[in-house]
Amino acid sequence: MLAALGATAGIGVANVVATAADRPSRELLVAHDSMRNERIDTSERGQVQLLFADQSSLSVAPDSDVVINEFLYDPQTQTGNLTATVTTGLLRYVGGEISKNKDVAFYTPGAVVSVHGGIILIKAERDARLGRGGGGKTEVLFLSGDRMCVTANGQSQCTTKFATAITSEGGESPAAPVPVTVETIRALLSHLQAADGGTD
Amino acid sequence: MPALTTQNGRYRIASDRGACARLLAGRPHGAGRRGLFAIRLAAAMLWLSSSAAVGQPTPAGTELDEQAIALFKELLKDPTNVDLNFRYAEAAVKLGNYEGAISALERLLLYNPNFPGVKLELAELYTRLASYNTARAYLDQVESAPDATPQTRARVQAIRDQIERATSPSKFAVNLVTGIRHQSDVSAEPAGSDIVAGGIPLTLSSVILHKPGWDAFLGGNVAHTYDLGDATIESNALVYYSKQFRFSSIDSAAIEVNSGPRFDIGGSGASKIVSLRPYALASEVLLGNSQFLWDVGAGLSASRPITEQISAAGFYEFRSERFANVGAVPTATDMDADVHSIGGNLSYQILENGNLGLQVSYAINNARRSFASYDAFVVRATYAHSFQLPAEFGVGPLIVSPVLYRIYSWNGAANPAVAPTVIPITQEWRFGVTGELGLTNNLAATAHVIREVIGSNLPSDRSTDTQVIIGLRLSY
Repeated sequence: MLAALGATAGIGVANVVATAADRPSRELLVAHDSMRNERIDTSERGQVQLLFADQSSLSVAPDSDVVINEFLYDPQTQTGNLTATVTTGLLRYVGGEISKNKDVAFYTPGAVVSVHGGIILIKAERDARLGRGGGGKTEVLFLSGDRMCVTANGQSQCTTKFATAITSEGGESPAAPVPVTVETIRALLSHLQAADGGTD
Repeated sequence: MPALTTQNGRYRIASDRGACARLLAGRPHGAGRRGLFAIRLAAAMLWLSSSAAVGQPTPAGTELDEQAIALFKELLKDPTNVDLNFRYAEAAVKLGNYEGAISALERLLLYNPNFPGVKLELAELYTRLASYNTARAYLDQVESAPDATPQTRARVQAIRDQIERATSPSKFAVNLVTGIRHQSDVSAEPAGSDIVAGGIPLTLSSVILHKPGWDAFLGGNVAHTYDLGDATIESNALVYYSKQFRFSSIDSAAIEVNSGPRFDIGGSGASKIVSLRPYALASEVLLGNSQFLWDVGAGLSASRPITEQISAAGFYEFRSERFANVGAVPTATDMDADVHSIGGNLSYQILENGNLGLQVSYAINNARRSFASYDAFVVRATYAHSFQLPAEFGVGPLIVSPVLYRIYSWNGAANPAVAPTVIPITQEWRFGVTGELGLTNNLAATAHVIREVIGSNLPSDRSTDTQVIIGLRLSY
């Protein structure tokens, strides 16, 4: 579907492999009013953006494994809930109506990231020795918004300052926020853009 | 040029047409009348420094808002449609939904990174969000593209310059207001003034002539902030000049400077408990082009958000005021005083495009002469509503703000020269409406109509006045 849409629009296309644990594999791009336990497992060159009905979006870089645990949205009250698990890889979350009213939570192998409004980048690395779901490194960049917190090992670190990062490694308590360079941001943004050359 | 005489123990001005007008010299009595309430110059200039009526995002509920929602619903059906993403991003920007616009534009880069125009737009949007390093990251990408045109590089540089200005620790903001005013009962009170209990320049409003008249005025506010990291140094210079068309004895000029650090307690940003600002101040006032008043003082202001819609602020301020006798007020030094004032206000965004304000303040003025001393209590309620005008009008938004005051004051003692057995007590109603129409990004037209009705236990202190003010406000 994506390939067809991309060709029609004259733009590049991602090689996306998205699967739902209890459903046949299918490509995902739009999340309407609800979604639960949807897994997005991008390949080496796969990229995808999920567009949610609350106007938020989730961009997933190649070689990433993300599960949308729950997305619920009531357009009438502009409230809902979004939680996702990032097992490995890189994603960018751009907040919408839900995150303006309540924190949105992202689970990584060793930490929990919560964000109120705004835009964040989450980079999760799995610790191969521990296998899926154990330890690893979580680095979260706060690009804009009201507040972002990272909780691990029962302790939290929060930041309200843009272009700062909080890192948790091996399930240990997160380190204090540190500034990130333009180069770091640029490199991560590049991973979220199509490979140069456009259409695959 | 009016000449000052005394009559029945009160100072009066015999105007050049022979009509008598009242001049309250040194507030010897009638502390409740207009002008016996302190006008704090900083507060008087609030309308100068209020946010511009122009260049603000369109509020929700408008036609544009509905259009953006419709575009987004189309996007949900066709998220890779380039034209649709651009149209939605454009609508989102107009609504101030920069994240929505960023999401749409970054979606395009997900499919094709060779959109330098999109990256420039993203750099601008991140700049608006004050996410400068992210903006720089996009600018780096644009600049490093081998096919970047000179025009593109020029725009990159323009955005970089904008970021440099925004990230400089030193920043200036300037507001200027000029216009003309008609009063049914002329006073030297600053045009568009806001009244709180305490402060200066008291006698700018204490001169009341029972005659109608016009004046032209110019006011300005220069604000400077210097970012120290965990705190900022905030300094303000406020100036005001009014030239009466007929009564030059009450031409008035004032300047006040205040400066102090602002810092957050209990974290920063949304998690802070309170933002504090201790400050020092100094003022200088001329009346009839003669030295009339100077003061020095200090204060402490505090503010904090209560909810996303409600914020609260408070202040305490002390001023030591020293007057000079002038031709129009020969006993002004009786008013030399120490003034303590305290106040607070609540701001409640009751609607998407409507804000309610409530302000309460109390002042204790300990003057050198007891009959010039007074206490004053002021309650002020306002509501500001922003109306988005149709795009074909080419102007807007229009901000309409009704205002209502209730002011009480009590003198410290009777004035033996006026009413030896009566300690003046007054109550004032003041109500009106202000309109401000955005003309360009930096220019707005303003209009005020204010009605004052003063009651007192001294019949001579009762008065009414209607002010009509038309002006322009320039901000940058």
